[in-house]
Amino acid sequence: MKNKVLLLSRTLLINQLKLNTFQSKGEIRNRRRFYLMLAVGIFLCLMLMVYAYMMGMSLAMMGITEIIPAYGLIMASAFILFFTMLKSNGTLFAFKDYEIMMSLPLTTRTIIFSRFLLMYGLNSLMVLLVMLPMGIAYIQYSSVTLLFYPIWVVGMLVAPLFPTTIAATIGAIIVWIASKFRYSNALSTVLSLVLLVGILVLSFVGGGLDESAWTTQNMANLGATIGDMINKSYPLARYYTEAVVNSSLVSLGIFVGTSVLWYGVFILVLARKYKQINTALMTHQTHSNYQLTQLHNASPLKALYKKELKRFLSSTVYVLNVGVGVIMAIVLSVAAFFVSDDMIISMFPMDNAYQMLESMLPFVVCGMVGMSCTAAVSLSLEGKNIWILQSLPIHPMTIFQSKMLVNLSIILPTAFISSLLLSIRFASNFISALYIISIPLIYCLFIPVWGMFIDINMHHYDWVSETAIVKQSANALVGLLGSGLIGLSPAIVILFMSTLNVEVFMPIVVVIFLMLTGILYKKIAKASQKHLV
Amino acid sequence: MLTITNFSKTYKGGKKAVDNLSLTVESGDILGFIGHNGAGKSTTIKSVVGILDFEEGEIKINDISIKEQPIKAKQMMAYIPDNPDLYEHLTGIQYLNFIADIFGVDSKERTLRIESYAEDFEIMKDLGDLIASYSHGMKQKVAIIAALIHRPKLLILDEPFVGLDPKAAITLKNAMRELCAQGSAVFFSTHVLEVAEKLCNKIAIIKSGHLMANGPTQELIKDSSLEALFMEVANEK
Repeated sequence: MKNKVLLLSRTLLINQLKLNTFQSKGEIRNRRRFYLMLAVGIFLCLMLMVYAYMMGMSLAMMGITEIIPAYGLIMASAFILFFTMLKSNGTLFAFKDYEIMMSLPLTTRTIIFSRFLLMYGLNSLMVLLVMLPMGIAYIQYSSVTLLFYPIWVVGMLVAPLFPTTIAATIGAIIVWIASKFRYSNALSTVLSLVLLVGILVLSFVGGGLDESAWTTQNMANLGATIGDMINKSYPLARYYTEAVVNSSLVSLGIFVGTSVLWYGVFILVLARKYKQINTALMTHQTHSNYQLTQLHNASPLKALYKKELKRFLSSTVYVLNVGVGVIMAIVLSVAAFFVSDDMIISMFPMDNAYQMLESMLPFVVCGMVGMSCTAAVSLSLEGKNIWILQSLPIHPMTIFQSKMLVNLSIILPTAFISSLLLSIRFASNFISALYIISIPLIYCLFIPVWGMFIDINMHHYDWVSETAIVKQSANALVGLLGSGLIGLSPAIVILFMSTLNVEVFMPIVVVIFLMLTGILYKKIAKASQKHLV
Repeated sequence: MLTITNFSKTYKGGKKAVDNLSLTVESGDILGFIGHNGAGKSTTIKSVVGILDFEEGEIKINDISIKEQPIKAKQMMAYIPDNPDLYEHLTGIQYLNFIADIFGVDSKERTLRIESYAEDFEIMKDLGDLIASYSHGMKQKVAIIAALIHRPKLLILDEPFVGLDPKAAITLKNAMRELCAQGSAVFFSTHVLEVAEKLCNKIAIIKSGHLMANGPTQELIKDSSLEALFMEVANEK
């Protein structure tokens, strides 16, 4: 079984990462895409490592070094939970080669193991990126024994098991419930969205510290407060902390044992229901009772727009991954009403904290909404269907416009609602309210144009799972993160340049956004003259 | 209706899939394009319908170049690929309506045509279901109806009979004949030599990217059969 698991995992890896395509000498475009993705990936990994190290250092400087192990574990687990839950459908369930796999002389457990191993491998990398730098910070600020090193390494190896199985279980429950209904995809999307919003709300409301914790008197007890909070939300973290801080092998044993046992139970239970879940997910209810009525015509642009919108709404992976930005923007703006001014001021130790936040807010919304850049992947998502658009009498620009319009339809209303709420909560005068509302709306023009420009230049139609395009492709990384970072960058400038004249800065940023939009739109129009999409 | 002149297509890496091919399909013709796997049939077809770009030669549909005026040229034709990957998130009727919108077919006309073809192909009751739930043959039927919905001047099909049930295959043949009787032309690739011999008034045989035989079916096969002619061409060095 072990050999078969490894064989399947290796084949899966070659297929998912397209390693054979990369070896082909003629595929220069693939090589370029690979190197670009590698560069972006390395950059993101470095950013995460720096962030984790600085977080560890901050905790140590606050005098709560003993919190670092639990904090690192919970941070890595949260990342895993968030990302794995969104991709279990397509990786563990309802994957394209499911039928081929099930027809081979393999046990269901072998198939689950191999798919799980891939998720575990990727999640281990996530753990490494968070826990390695935090471990370094811990070593720097506390006196560790030799036993610390093997405990920390074992911790990193075991850490992905629990959150990966929890996330996969939640994913399985969602698809299991959804598979009972006719519109299983739509229901799966709705349930996942509810869960996602729930997690975000809990992290804003329940996960945050009580306001009293920020007062000077209570700073001394901050370590205990955070420790309690972490232990309550993730009991395994307590054993890990005890293992690291007190070099307790018993606690390490409980941590490892619980994680491995939980993983074993998960595999056993899932193996019993695996075929049933997949059958339900991969078959569609049919009614065969259609009666033709008068059909109505629409313009090619409207027809393409409707088709594109249905494409977006029909895919849970697409909605959840690309829609997360707009959801975050709405949740943030609602949560803002539950945070007091004092707490905000205490979080930003500057003289003009409130004014600074007021100026940064429009760009925070831009950054979040920018993550919902559907246009960055919509062309690639045509996949095997691309022959339809290529053989139909449609100008490529009409196709691009339809994809940009769908993106705009998703981000414009949410950006408006989010910025309106934030302006009600934070704007101190009319001009401030105007900026908070208008800048995200203007940035909404840039997002689809940016995404389309990226996808035109980096598209590829040869993919097996749409997760590979939505989550793991170079165009998704550059498109979604790029538009998020570009939108957020003025806020970073404001944060670090305290002497900045905001009244001059804001209009300049607006002009830059508009200019960039115009330039990229012209480039898209020029690309459309090539006739082939 | 379709004129291919000195057409060549070389893929990345230097492989010449089609070499200096010239072919004409007149109005009213049903031309069967025959060749073994990898002979260059699909490459030629995909270049004709505007999916593949090409550097050498000229392809014109009703005197309109697919390279110079692709939108105008595509407006006159319809294409059905060998493996119809349709939009699985749409229902059959939504897909047909989408295609009709792109070709600007009047709402009354499209309703009548869909009704007629869907009844002929016995798929009317399934049109309200998602394409994702369709079998290969059902997808093929929807692709055929979508191709016929705007009454194309040139119908291009790549292996159209694969996956179709016998009745649907007969219906398709009748639709092809009917279209040609109205002045359109049909250009299709096939491996089924019996079908080509009975259905096509013209035959073209391609081997390793070269056109080996081309002309009226009866003139080419004479007293023999298409199978014998094909084997003769296949064994030629």
